[in-house]
Amino acid sequence: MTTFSFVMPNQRRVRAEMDAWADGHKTHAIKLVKLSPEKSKQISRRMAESMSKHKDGKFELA
Amino acid sequence: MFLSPAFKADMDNASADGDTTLSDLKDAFKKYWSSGFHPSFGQDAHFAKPKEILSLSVRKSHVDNGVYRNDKGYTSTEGAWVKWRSGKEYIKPASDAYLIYAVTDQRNAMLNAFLDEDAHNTVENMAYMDEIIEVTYKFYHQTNSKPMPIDEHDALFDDKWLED
Repeated sequence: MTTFSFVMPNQRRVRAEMDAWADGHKTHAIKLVKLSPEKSKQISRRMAESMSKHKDGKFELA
Repeated sequence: MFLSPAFKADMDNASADGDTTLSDLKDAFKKYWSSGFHPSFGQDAHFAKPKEILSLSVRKSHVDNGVYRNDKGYTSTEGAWVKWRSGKEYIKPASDAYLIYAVTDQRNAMLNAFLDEDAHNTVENMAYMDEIIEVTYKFYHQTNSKPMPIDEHDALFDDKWLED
Protein backbone atom coordinates (compact mmCIF):
# COMPACT_ATOMS: atom_id res chain seq x y z
CA MET A 1 0.00 0.00 0.00
CA THR A 2 1.27 3.45 -0.86
CA THR A 3 1.02 5.15 2.51
CA PHE A 4 2.75 8.42 3.17
CA SER A 5 3.60 8.20 6.86
CA PHE A 6 6.77 10.27 6.65
CA VAL A 7 8.11 13.09 4.54
CA MET A 8 10.93 11.33 2.74
CA PRO A 9 14.42 12.82 2.30
CA ASN A 10 14.04 12.88 -1.51
CA GLN A 11 10.89 15.03 -1.28
CA ARG A 12 12.86 18.23 -1.58
CA ARG A 13 9.95 20.52 -2.43
CA VAL A 14 7.75 19.20 0.37
CA ARG A 15 10.55 19.74 2.86
CA ALA A 16 11.19 23.24 1.51
CA GLU A 17 7.52 24.09 2.00
CA MET A 18 7.63 22.76 5.55
CA ASP A 19 10.80 24.66 6.32
CA ALA A 20 9.25 27.89 5.04
CA TRP A 21 6.19 27.30 7.20
CA ALA A 22 8.30 26.44 10.24
CA ASP A 23 10.32 29.61 9.74
CA GLY A 24 7.12 31.65 9.70
CA HIS A 25 7.17 32.70 6.05
CA LYS A 26 3.61 33.95 5.78
CA THR A 27 3.94 34.39 2.03
CA HIS A 28 3.11 30.70 1.81
CA ALA A 29 -0.43 31.61 2.83
CA ILE A 30 -1.24 28.42 4.66
CA LYS A 31 -4.48 28.67 6.58
CA LEU A 32 -5.25 26.03 9.18
CA VAL A 33 -8.65 24.38 8.89
CA LYS A 34 -10.56 25.04 12.10
CA LEU A 35 -12.47 21.81 12.46
CA SER A 36 -14.07 20.86 15.76
CA PRO A 37 -14.99 17.23 16.47
CA GLU A 38 -18.69 18.16 16.35
CA LYS A 39 -18.45 20.09 13.08
CA SER A 40 -16.42 17.29 11.54
CA LYS A 41 -19.12 14.73 12.34
CA GLN A 42 -21.86 17.05 11.11
CA ILE A 43 -20.16 17.56 7.74
CA SER A 44 -19.57 13.83 7.40
CA ARG A 45 -23.19 12.95 8.17
CA ARG A 46 -24.56 15.52 5.72
CA MET A 47 -22.21 14.38 2.98
CA ALA A 48 -23.21 10.75 3.37
CA GLU A 49 -26.81 11.86 2.70
CA SER A 50 -25.76 14.10 -0.19
CA MET A 51 -23.90 11.30 -1.92
CA SER A 52 -27.22 9.54 -2.53
CA LYS A 53 -29.02 12.73 -3.56
CA HIS A 54 -26.43 14.00 -6.05
CA LYS A 55 -25.51 10.86 -7.93
CA ASP A 56 -26.00 12.37 -11.37
CA GLY A 57 -24.54 15.83 -10.91
CA LYS A 58 -21.61 17.41 -12.68
CA PHE A 59 -18.01 17.30 -11.53
CA GLU A 60 -16.89 20.89 -11.36
CA LEU A 61 -13.43 22.41 -11.35
CA ALA A 62 -12.56 23.96 -8.01
CA MET B 1 -8.83 19.93 -9.08
CA PHE B 2 -12.43 18.72 -9.27
CA LEU B 3 -15.22 18.42 -6.71
CA SER B 4 -17.79 15.64 -6.61
CA PRO B 5 -21.41 16.80 -6.97
CA ALA B 6 -22.09 16.00 -3.29
CA PHE B 7 -18.99 17.84 -2.07
CA LYS B 8 -19.85 20.89 -4.19
CA ALA B 9 -23.51 20.93 -3.12
CA ASP B 10 -22.68 20.67 0.58
CA MET B 11 -19.93 23.25 0.31
CA ASP B 12 -22.21 25.73 -1.49
CA ASN B 13 -25.12 25.16 0.89
CA ALA B 14 -22.94 25.64 3.96
CA SER B 15 -21.25 28.73 2.50
CA ALA B 16 -24.66 30.27 1.79
CA ASP B 17 -25.36 29.88 5.51
CA GLY B 18 -22.04 31.50 6.40
CA ASP B 19 -20.23 28.25 7.21
CA THR B 20 -16.98 28.12 5.24
CA THR B 21 -15.52 24.96 6.81
CA LEU B 22 -15.88 22.81 3.68
CA SER B 23 -14.64 25.62 1.49
CA ASP B 24 -11.63 26.01 3.82
CA LEU B 25 -11.04 22.28 3.61
CA LYS B 26 -11.12 22.44 -0.18
CA ASP B 27 -8.65 25.36 -0.22
CA ALA B 28 -6.38 23.56 2.23
CA PHE B 29 -6.38 20.44 0.08
CA LYS B 30 -5.53 22.54 -2.96
CA LYS B 31 -2.51 23.89 -1.12
CA TYR B 32 -1.54 20.40 0.04
CA TRP B 33 -1.90 19.00 -3.45
CA SER B 34 0.26 21.68 -5.07
CA SER B 35 2.99 21.85 -2.42
CA GLY B 36 2.87 18.46 -0.69
CA PHE B 37 2.35 19.99 2.76
CA HIS B 38 -0.51 21.34 4.78
CA PRO B 39 -0.51 21.27 8.58
CA SER B 40 -4.17 20.14 8.68
CA PHE B 41 -3.48 16.97 6.64
CA GLY B 42 -1.45 14.05 7.95
CA GLN B 43 -1.03 10.53 6.62
CA ASP B 44 -2.20 9.76 3.12
CA ALA B 45 -2.83 6.30 1.69
CA HIS B 46 -4.60 4.62 -1.18
CA PHE B 47 -7.58 2.35 -0.60
CA ALA B 48 -7.01 -1.34 -1.19
CA LYS B 49 -10.44 -2.74 -0.34
CA PRO B 50 -12.54 -3.84 -2.12
CA LYS B 51 -10.11 -5.04 -4.78
CA GLU B 52 -11.98 -3.16 -7.51
CA ILE B 53 -10.90 0.13 -5.99
CA LEU B 54 -7.23 -0.60 -6.71
CA SER B 55 -7.83 0.16 -10.38
CA LEU B 56 -9.59 3.46 -9.56
CA SER B 57 -6.76 5.32 -7.81
CA VAL B 58 -8.72 6.36 -4.73
CA ARG B 59 -6.91 7.76 -1.70
CA LYS B 60 -7.60 9.16 1.75
CA SER B 61 -5.88 11.97 3.54
CA HIS B 62 -6.15 12.08 7.34
CA VAL B 63 -7.63 15.38 8.52
CA ASP B 64 -6.99 17.06 11.87
CA ASN B 65 -10.52 17.04 13.32
CA GLY B 66 -9.51 17.90 16.86
CA VAL B 67 -9.91 14.33 18.13
CA TYR B 68 -6.71 12.88 19.53
CA ARG B 69 -6.09 9.48 21.06
CA ASN B 70 -3.46 7.94 23.26
CA ASP B 71 -4.45 4.31 22.68
CA LYS B 72 -3.58 4.08 18.96
CA GLY B 73 0.12 4.78 18.95
CA TYR B 74 2.12 7.99 18.76
CA THR B 75 0.76 9.23 15.42
CA SER B 76 -2.79 9.61 16.75
CA THR B 77 -1.80 11.72 19.74
CA GLU B 78 -2.25 15.44 20.09
CA GLY B 79 1.52 15.74 20.47
CA ALA B 80 2.05 14.22 17.02
CA TRP B 81 -0.32 16.77 15.46
CA VAL B 82 1.21 19.67 17.36
CA LYS B 83 4.69 18.75 16.13
CA TRP B 84 3.43 18.24 12.59
CA ARG B 85 1.67 21.61 12.62
CA SER B 86 4.95 23.25 13.60
CA GLY B 87 6.51 22.09 10.32
CA LYS B 88 9.50 20.73 12.20
CA GLU B 89 8.48 17.09 12.29
CA TYR B 90 8.59 14.69 9.32
CA ILE B 91 6.39 12.01 10.93
CA LYS B 92 2.86 12.39 9.60
CA PRO B 93 0.06 12.14 12.16
CA ALA B 94 -3.12 10.07 11.82
CA SER B 95 -6.78 10.72 12.57
CA ASP B 96 -10.14 9.04 12.19
CA ALA B 97 -11.42 11.61 9.69
CA TYR B 98 -10.68 11.22 5.99
CA LEU B 99 -10.81 13.40 2.94
CA ILE B 100 -11.42 10.86 0.18
CA TYR B 101 -10.16 11.68 -3.31
CA ALA B 102 -9.32 10.16 -6.66
CA VAL B 103 -6.21 10.83 -8.75
CA THR B 104 -6.02 10.82 -12.54
CA ASP B 105 -3.01 9.71 -14.54
CA GLN B 106 -2.22 13.44 -15.03
CA ARG B 107 -2.27 13.87 -11.22
CA ASN B 108 -5.51 15.81 -11.17
CA ALA B 109 -7.47 15.21 -7.99
CA MET B 110 -11.21 14.90 -7.46
CA LEU B 111 -12.42 15.51 -3.91
CA ASN B 112 -15.04 12.85 -3.44
CA ALA B 113 -16.19 12.94 0.18
CA PHE B 114 -15.38 13.81 3.76
CA LEU B 115 -15.80 11.03 6.28
CA ASP B 116 -15.76 11.28 10.06
CA GLU B 117 -18.07 8.70 11.50
CA ASP B 118 -15.68 6.13 12.82
CA ALA B 119 -13.86 6.37 9.47
CA HIS B 120 -11.55 3.39 9.96
CA ASN B 121 -14.54 1.10 10.35
CA THR B 122 -16.86 2.83 7.92
CA VAL B 123 -14.48 2.20 5.02
CA GLU B 124 -14.78 -1.51 5.80
CA ASN B 125 -18.50 -1.13 5.05
CA MET B 126 -18.99 -2.18 1.43
CA ALA B 127 -22.16 -0.14 0.97
CA TYR B 128 -20.23 3.05 1.71
CA MET B 129 -17.30 2.07 -0.49
CA ASP B 130 -19.68 1.11 -3.32
CA GLU B 131 -20.92 4.70 -3.32
CA ILE B 132 -17.37 6.01 -3.47
CA ILE B 133 -16.61 3.64 -6.34
CA GLU B 134 -19.74 4.63 -8.25
CA VAL B 135 -18.91 8.33 -8.00
CA THR B 136 -15.33 7.66 -9.08
CA TYR B 137 -16.39 5.74 -12.19
CA LYS B 138 -18.70 8.62 -13.12
CA PHE B 139 -15.88 11.12 -12.64
CA TYR B 140 -13.51 9.35 -15.03
CA HIS B 141 -16.30 8.89 -17.56
CA GLN B 142 -17.57 12.48 -17.38
CA THR B 143 -14.11 14.08 -17.53
CA ASN B 144 -12.77 11.58 -20.05
CA SER B 145 -9.82 10.88 -17.78
CA LYS B 146 -8.08 7.80 -16.47
CA PRO B 147 -6.97 6.73 -13.02
CA MET B 148 -3.31 6.89 -12.13
CA PRO B 149 -1.94 3.34 -11.84
CA ILE B 150 -1.38 2.43 -8.20
CA ASP B 151 2.26 1.59 -8.80
CA GLU B 152 2.82 5.26 -9.73
CA HIS B 153 1.44 6.57 -6.43
CA ASP B 154 4.82 6.29 -4.73
CA ALA B 155 5.88 9.35 -6.72
CA LEU B 156 2.77 11.47 -6.02
CA PHE B 157 4.66 13.99 -3.91
CA ASP B 158 7.95 13.84 -5.75
CA ASP B 159 9.51 17.09 -6.90
CA LYS B 160 8.42 16.62 -10.51
CA TRP B 161 4.75 17.10 -9.59
CA LEU B 162 5.05 19.97 -7.14
CA GLU B 163 5.33 23.72 -7.38
CA ASP B 164 8.51 25.44 -6.30
